[in-house]
Amino acid sequence: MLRCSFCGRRAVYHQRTSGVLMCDRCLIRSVERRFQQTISRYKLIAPNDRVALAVSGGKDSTALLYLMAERCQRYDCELITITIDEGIRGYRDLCISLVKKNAKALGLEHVVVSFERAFGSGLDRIAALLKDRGIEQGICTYCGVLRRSLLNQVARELGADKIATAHNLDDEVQAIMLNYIRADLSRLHRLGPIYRKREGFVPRIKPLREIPEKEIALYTLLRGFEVNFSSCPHIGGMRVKIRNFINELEAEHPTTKYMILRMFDRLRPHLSDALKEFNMRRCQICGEPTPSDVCRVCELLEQVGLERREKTLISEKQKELWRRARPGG
Amino acid sequence: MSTIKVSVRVAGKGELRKLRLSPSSDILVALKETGHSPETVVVRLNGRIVPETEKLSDGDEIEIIPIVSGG
Repeated sequence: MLRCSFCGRRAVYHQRTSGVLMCDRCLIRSVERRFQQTISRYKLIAPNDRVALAVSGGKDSTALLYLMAERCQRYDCELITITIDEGIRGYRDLCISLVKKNAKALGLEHVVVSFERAFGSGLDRIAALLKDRGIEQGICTYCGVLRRSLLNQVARELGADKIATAHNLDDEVQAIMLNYIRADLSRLHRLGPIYRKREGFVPRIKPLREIPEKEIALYTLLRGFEVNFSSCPHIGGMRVKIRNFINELEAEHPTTKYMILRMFDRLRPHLSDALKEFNMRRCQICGEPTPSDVCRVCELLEQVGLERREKTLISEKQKELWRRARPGG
Repeated sequence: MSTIKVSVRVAGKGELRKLRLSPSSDILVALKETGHSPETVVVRLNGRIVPETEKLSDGDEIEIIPIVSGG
C-alpha cells in the first residue's frame, strides 16, 4: 500500500509533476489551496462582487460550484448559477437535474436558458441542419460561440460583475495549443485567468485554471459530489486530437502542461502589442457587442437559417424576484 | 507464481476483461494493456481509489473511471 508523503495515510494519488503521493485529505486541501491562491494572485474576485457561475453539471463546474459557494460564504461575494441548455438529448438534460439538485442543496439561485428559447433550435437540430446543408463548420464551434454569447447576455442582464467558468489546466493548455495551431492571435489573447471588462462583456474568470483535470475529478469523487462523467455525443474535431497528443506527452514527460501554461503566461502581456486596437460596436442584426458589423452568433445562425429570438432573456419579473430573494434585497 | 490474474472493468460499461500480468506489475501496466492513458482516468482497486503506481496482486479487481468528458 502506498502512503501519503505528507501524513502517512493511505495514498489515493501520485502527483507525477512533484513526485509526491497524497491521501484523500491532503489532495482535497491541495486543490482548495490552489483555487484560493489563483483567486488571490490574479485578484479574480473583489469584495461584494456578484459572480455568475457557469455550471454544466460535469465534474469541473460542480467542483467550482462548491468551492465558490464555500468561498462566498466566508468572503461575502454573491453567487448566481447559470446553466445553458444547448439541447443535447440524453446528455445535457441529465446534467441539468444534477445542477438543480446541487444548487438547491447550497441554497443558490439557478437560472437555465436554452438554445431552443434563444435561437429557436437546440444543438442536436443545428447539427442536423449543418449536415443537411453540407456545411463543414464544426458543431463544437456553434456550441462554443452560442453558449458563450448566451452566458454573457444572461450574466449581464442579472447585473453580474464576473462570470466564473470551470476551465481547468487541461482545458486552458488545449485552448492555447489550438489557437497557436490556428494562428488565432485574437482568441489566444483572450485566454488567461481573467479576461477584463469591455463594453457589453462581463469579465470572465477561471479559478481552476492551474489545477489538472485529473485532480479535479479526484476532488469531486472524494468529496462525494453527484456529477455527470458522461461525454457529449457531439465531441470531436481538432481539440480532441490536441488533447490526446498533450496527454501522451504528459504521460511521458510530466509537467508538460504546466510548462505550456507558464510559457503562455510569460508571453501574454506582449500579445496586446501585436493586436490591432478595435472599437466595440453593436451587431446590426441583434444589437449585441461585436468588433464587426455582424456578430459571430448572427453569422453562424444565418448559415443554418436561424436567428436570435429574444432581445432580453431575463424578464423584469424574474429580476425582481431575484432581487427580493437576495440577502438585504 | 509466474503471472498474476487481475480483472478490469470500465465504469459505465458491462464488459469485464481478465489480464495476465507479471507479478511486479502496477496499475500503469494494466492501463497500458487496456489502452487507457493515466491522464484521463481515475482507478479504483478493489473498491478503493488508488495511485496508478500501486502494485497489483493476484485476484485484484480494477475499475477504470474515465474522467475526460468534454462538451
